[in-house]
Amino acid sequence: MTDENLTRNLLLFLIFLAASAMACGDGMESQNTIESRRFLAIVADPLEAGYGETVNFFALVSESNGKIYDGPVNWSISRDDSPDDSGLSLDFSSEAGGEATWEIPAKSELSSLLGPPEIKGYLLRATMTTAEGEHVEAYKRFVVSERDAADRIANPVIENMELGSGGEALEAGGDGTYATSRNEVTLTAQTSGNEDDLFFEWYSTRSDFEPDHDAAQTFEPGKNGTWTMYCVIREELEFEHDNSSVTTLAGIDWWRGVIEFQ
Amino acid sequence: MKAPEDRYAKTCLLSLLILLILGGAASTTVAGQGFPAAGAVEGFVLAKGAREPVPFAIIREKNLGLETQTDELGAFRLDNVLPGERTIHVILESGREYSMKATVRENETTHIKWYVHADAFLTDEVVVVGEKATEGMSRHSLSKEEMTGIPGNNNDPIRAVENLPGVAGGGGGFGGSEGLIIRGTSPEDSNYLVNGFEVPQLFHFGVLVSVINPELIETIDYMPGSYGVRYSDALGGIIEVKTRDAHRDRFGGVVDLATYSSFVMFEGPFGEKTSGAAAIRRSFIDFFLPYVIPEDQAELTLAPRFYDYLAVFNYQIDTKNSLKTTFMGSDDGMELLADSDDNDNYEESMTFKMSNYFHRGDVDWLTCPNQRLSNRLTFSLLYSAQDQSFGSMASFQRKVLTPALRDELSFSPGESNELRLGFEGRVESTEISSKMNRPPKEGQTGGQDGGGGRFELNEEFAPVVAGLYAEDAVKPWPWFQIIPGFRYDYHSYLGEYSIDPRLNANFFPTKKATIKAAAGQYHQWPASDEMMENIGAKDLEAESGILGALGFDYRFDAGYSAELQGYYKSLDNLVSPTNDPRGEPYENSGIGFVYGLEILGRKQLTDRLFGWASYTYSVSKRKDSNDDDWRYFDQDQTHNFIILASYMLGQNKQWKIGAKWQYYTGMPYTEILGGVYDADANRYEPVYASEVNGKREGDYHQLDVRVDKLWTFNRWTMNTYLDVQNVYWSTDPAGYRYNYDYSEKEDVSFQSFMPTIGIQARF
Repeated sequence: MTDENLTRNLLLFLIFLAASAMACGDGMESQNTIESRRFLAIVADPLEAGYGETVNFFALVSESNGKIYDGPVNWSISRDDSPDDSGLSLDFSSEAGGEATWEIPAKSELSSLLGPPEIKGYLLRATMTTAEGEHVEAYKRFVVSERDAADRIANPVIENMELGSGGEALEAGGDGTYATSRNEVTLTAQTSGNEDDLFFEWYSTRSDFEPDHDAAQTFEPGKNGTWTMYCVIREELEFEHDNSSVTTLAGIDWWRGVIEFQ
Repeated sequence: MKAPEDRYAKTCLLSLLILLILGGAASTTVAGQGFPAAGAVEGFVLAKGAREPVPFAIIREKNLGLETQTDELGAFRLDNVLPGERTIHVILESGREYSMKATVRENETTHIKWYVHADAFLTDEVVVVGEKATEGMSRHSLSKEEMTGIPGNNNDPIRAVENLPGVAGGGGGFGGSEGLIIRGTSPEDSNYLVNGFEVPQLFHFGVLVSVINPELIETIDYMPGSYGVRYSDALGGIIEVKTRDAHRDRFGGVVDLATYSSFVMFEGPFGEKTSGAAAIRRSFIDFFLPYVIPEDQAELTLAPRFYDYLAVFNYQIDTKNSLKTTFMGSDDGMELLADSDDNDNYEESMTFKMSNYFHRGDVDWLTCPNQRLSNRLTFSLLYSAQDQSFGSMASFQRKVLTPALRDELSFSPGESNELRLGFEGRVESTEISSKMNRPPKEGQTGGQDGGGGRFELNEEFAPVVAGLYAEDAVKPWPWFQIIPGFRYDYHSYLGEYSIDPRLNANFFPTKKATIKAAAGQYHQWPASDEMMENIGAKDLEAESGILGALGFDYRFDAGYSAELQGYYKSLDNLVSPTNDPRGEPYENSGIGFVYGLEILGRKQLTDRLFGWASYTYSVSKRKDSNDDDWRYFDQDQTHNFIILASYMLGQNKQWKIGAKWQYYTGMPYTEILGGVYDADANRYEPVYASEVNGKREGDYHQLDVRVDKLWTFNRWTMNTYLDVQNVYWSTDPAGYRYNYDYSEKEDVSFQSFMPTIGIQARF
């Protein structure tokens, strides 16, 4: 029963928390620390596009040292609800940097390629290879709509990132690195739209980094060194289909910086 | 000379005359001088503390050679007791003897009320657990003392069912499933009834203590299978709780204080024909849980807390008619807020709220025109509401108003024949407002998503579910009983009906042995979310099962008994996900089977010792469609062994010590091979192995102990207990904890060491 499953989920969550508290050896890699090559985001720009228009995809992949991955990424587009083995997909690849451009075909052509678009929109899959040779996959949903451009949902934007230390603003050097002699830096993301509608995820190459999930993030590494910071903002946007189902899309933007603690 | 005969005759006459004169004078002296006339002693013999009547006790005045016996109300009267201070003895059936001084006055009746230690440590009610005798198969009768005193059960008699054959271990505890896993079926496949009607939940939060106050329970019928046609809409088992009548002979009550919850109950007569009882309980979990969950991970805005209440009013219309009104309700609430550090949006996404409550009122009219005919008509009105949200990911609100009617006619045309006819019907007027993913089904590996993404629903529907049934328990010979039954059910929303023929037979080769056999068909309607518009499927039918069982019981002397039962259950028409995004989400394509063996060796409470050993062997498999392979059922548990015993110590059995040890096999799970990054949700979705439920969690064993101390006063008792679950800190394997992308994992285990201290005053 529906409600019983929710009750179970709540209880399991409590149990999970209790288990987390009791679990021995909490040494597993955190999602907010970067210790290996991994996806941090996939951006579709524009987030909602129309037939015959161009959409740019970008897979934000960080190397273990914080640099942006510049290797090949394989892309495929299919309907969200198509089985993997349906054969109904468009495949292409970006040789370097994880960027790709897709010219959305006309509605009839797209339907003939991927099937009728009436249910859940499309699923964009990105695949890359880790440094250890393993294939890692990520996906993102997007919809091709016939709405007017003014009515379409759009990605949020990080308009500016302020870095301050000890009450003083930090400026990036010639190589883009922020340097400070203090052991504390506060990063503040200034975004478009309502901040309350956004999720803030902060990532660092420092292994014991703990994020605040807030627009402002204080970073105290505890020792000198150089670490990379990422900020990815997400806005959950709902696209309602005619059959009362809803596709939740994430509008995404990101920022990267390198901070040197001297 | 006169003949010697004349002299002899005169002497005799003279002697007689003297005797008569003396006798008359003596009589006159007794009456005239106040020689004490006989008095009487009357009164009651009652059990200390419980104030229950002690029937059939011998009342004796040894010096005068007077003796009588208490009646069923514990009352007695001794006449012709000479005045003075007399020693009256009471001798119980067990041979235990008490004496009391009573001052008897001439021509007066001395009243005494005598409180004695009753023969047993028992309270009054007898709780019946097992399959009904009239419906064949096994019947377990446990006293309430046995049910509430089981180590690890926190005084909850319904939880005692978990220790009987057929129930999977770990299914009813914190960390397990909701409800009970009975004979290889989901908790949702079993029915939980109170006074003949379903309750939205039997346990608080699905897994804690029952929502029915233990003090007002009359019987608990636990039927793992082969139950009669009175029951429907279940492929698993039946648990039916019946509430008892309020005491009509005295006022009384219980005040219970325990570590995790407390309750009070009062009862008594309100006139010659009316009596009532009311109980209310409140949990204390919210005071303790914040200490278990670390502050830096979550904040419990409203920690889990529950209430329940139960009130019973009885009215004896006349000798043939009685009315019983019952009100019951339960309220569970919890709100959990993850650590947010001021980000309201993040806080909102990680907040878990749950509020489940119900209120129910029943009116029950029992009429018995004669000893062969009875009819019970019951009307019930239930209102239940659930309001749950799982962060920003899902929310679910449901309100259900369920008027229901049940009528059952029982007629015995002869000593060995009992015919039962019944009707039941209900309307489930339901409003649902939700924003959620399709719930994953049994056997589905999809985390929280049963496929199809997220749906927003605002639905109203009111299916009518009705059934008719008839069964006849016939005993043509003393060694043979057969119970054929037939049931018809209809579901208006589906437009479907089902027909269930069932047959039970009992053979009695000796007075102590019973061979039992049963076969029958069972149906269960799809869950509401499976047939609901938009999220569910059209044209679903009832799931069906055919069960065959064979058993053997033997009763030894001194309260020892053994039971053995084997069964095979074939499942068909099971509702399964189609995984077809373009078609209906569900269809009746699943099949399955369950077979098992259940053994129970038991020592009933006859003097100081009771306990049992229970073993359940079970194999449960499913096949979701013709294209799928056979797989283990999600909650398949191969072995479950329980041994428990309690022993009473002290002259008045005022001490009781008990222990329970349990061992069971881990349940299957599907291995996670890695993760795929969902860039929209910023989380990784697990990638499962193709073999569903191909792995199994580790086995588990646990020891629980319990010590009771009873103080018995004349008019009340006080019982204190210490109940410790998992005394040797056994770790329960509960799967794995993964890192964010499922590339690393580590064992997760629970050490559910849980001591409970309780004190209970009963008057």
